Amino acid sequence: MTPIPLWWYLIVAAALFCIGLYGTLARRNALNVLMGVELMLNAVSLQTVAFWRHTSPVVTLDVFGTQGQYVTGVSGQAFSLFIITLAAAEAAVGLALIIAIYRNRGSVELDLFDALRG
Amino acid sequence: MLDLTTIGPYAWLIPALTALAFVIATAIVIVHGRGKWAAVTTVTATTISAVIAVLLLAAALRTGGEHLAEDPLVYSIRWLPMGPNSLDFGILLDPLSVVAAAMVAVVCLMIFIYSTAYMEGEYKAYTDPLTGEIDYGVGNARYGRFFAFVALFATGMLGFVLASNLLQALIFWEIMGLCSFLLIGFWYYKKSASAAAIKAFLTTRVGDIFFFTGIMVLYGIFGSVDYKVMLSESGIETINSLGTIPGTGLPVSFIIALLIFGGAVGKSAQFPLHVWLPDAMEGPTPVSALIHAATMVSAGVFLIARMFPIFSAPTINHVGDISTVMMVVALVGSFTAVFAATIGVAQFDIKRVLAYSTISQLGYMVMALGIGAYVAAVFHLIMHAFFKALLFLGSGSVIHGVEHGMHHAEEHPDAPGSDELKLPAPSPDADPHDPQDMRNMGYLRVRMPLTFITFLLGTLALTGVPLFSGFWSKDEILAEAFFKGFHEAYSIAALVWILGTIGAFFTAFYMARQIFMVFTGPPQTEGARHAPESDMRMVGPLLVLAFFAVFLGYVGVSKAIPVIGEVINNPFHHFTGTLTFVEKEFESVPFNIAPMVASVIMVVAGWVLGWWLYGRDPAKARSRDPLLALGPLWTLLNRKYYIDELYGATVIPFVKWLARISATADSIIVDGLVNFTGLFGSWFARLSGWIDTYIVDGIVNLVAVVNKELARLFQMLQTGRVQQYLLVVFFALLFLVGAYVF
Repeated sequence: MTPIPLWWYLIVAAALFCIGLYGTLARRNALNVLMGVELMLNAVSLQTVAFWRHTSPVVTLDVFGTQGQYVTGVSGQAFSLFIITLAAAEAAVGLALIIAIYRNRGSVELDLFDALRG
Repeated sequence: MLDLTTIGPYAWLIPALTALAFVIATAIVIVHGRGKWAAVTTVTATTISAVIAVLLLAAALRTGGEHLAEDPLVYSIRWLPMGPNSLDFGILLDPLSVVAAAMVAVVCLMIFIYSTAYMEGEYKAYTDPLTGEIDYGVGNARYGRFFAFVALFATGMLGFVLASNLLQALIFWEIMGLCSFLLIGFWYYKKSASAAAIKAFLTTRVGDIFFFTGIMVLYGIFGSVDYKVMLSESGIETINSLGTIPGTGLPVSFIIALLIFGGAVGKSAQFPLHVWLPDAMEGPTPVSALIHAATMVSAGVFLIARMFPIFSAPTINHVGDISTVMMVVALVGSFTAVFAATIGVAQFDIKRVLAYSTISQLGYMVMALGIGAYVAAVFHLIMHAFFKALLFLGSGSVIHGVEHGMHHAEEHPDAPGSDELKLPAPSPDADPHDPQDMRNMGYLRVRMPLTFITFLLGTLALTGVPLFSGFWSKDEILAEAFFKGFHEAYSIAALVWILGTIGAFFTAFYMARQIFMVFTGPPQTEGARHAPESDMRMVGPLLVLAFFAVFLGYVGVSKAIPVIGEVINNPFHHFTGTLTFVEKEFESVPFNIAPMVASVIMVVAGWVLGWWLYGRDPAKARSRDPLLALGPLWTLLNRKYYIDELYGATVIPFVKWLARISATADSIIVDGLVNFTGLFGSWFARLSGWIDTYIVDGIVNLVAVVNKELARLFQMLQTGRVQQYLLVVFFALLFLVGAYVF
């Protein structure tokens, strides 16, 4: 069986990251920005796993009588899990912030918030 | 009990108490303005001082003059340590200082008691010189201030006579100078009074310069100013061993004594520095009494007596002989005695006559010291203090009475007098409102009997009428001059005798003139007609002083005088006849009837002439003075030999010219230097300011400007838009990665 080549993943991940970046930078609504951030995180998560799959050494193992080729280590999955956890936490904090801002100002349009302007 | 070593340590209280009175009286005047309490303080303190001084004299008499002169008591504290020596502050108790202190304290006390009444006019009717309103508050304070000043004056004289060294003496001497200035100018709103105060201060200052120079010379020789060092036998030997002044053949003591004599000439108003004393009459009359009798002018004579060993240093082994410098002293004194007496003949102001009389009598004392008649001079000093204080206070009483009479006459112009007197024509030249002008007086024998009697007794004492105190003292001087002039062949003493005897005639004449003009005949003005007798506080001191003026002379009756002299045995000579420290004793001269007869004839002649010209028809004499017949001579005497005019034409323009030159030099050279320094400083400051502004500030500002511009630049990055930040982060990341990869 021929695995899916790495660049396919990378293209998807890059596309996803670009969509997320666009959303983050260009959308006005804070919720959309948050979504963009999530997309970028997922893109990173995807390429992390892809790289793990294609760059880690492959070993042949006999598992329950069936011979198969296996990728060593779990670093890709571990990173992904961390990223997902982080994204969840980030989403929680981000949503809480957005609610607080909304309650305070009655809007979540990011253009309106420039209190830290120098 | 009455022992000198017991009382001696407390002698410092005599000047200290009056000084304390000055401080307290000043405080009272400043804090409360209660003049009466200041007067009470001063009189109380002076009373205690006088009691101590008299006790001291009594104790010293018990000890005996010779013993005290050999072993005088000195109590001193170290004031200013200087190397191996020190300047001390101390009290010297010797016959001279004890006698003088007792005299000063008693006479001052009499004058102060008198002043409490005399100066009352000050606060009862002090008229503001600007608005003409009667101001009781200011008058009350001025009354108190008077007593503060006189207390300081008494302190000056008492401290001076009791001083144990010359520097301390100078300090008290200058305190007196200050007080004379303050008191002569007490009515400073009168132009003439403030001018007289300045004149007195500056004229005595001329003498003080000589005195101070003399002190410096003595300090240079001895490294000390203590009398004990200078006047001891070894001190005199030191001065004698210095040899002579190069080129003159005169001993060093000549110049020292001359310098000190310069101080005495200024203070004791001897010719040519006598001009301040008559003008000092501008002060209140008690001040005149104080200056003329107890303090101030006596200080000069006292100084010569104190420094007598230096004056007679070349002849110290035959004390009483006349050294060269003493001839100068005798000459100045005898000239002044006659010179001032002749001026006194032609004055109309009651106090001015007495002022010239004082100058003349001081001349007697100075000439007595000049011929070595030390005891006679000191004796005359003491006698004169009493009878001159009496005369001045008496004249004050007269002025006071006439002034009251004038006020009375102004307030009740139609009130009939208690008498049916017809007033003679007023004197054409006299100001009818001047209570001091003798031409406005007369009749006061009736109006003011106690003042008249005491004044007469004082006059008899002053003129040297036999048996009164002035007779004994003046005749001792003349007897000694006669003896030295004709037995010891000192021609200067003969001259002194001749001038002194002539002076006795003038003295009798001008005093007779005064007595007849002031007291006898009908009243010349309403003021004299209504003059009341003075308050008891004024008459009381007059009576006390009159007692002294009559009887005190008997303590100094020369032993040589037959009968009476042997009985009394001249205690004064025994007490003061030995020079302190050097322990030289003066011999009393043998009796000679000639000078006594001569002086009595002169005195009688003076009185008779005075009576003949003024006593027969006083009213006529008052309206036109008989001496006007003298013509130009009268004018010369009346204008005081034009000495004031002479000074006004010579010395004063010279000093003014010198002052102008100094002022010019000051404005050109000194001010030039100062201005140059100022200009240089200002120029340098401008330069420094330029550097500061453009360089130092420039650097600082540059830093600020750069920071500010950079901040503006970076401020643009800080938009506050989180998405823009992210964009920057993104591109920065891209850049960094790019940089890493390529």
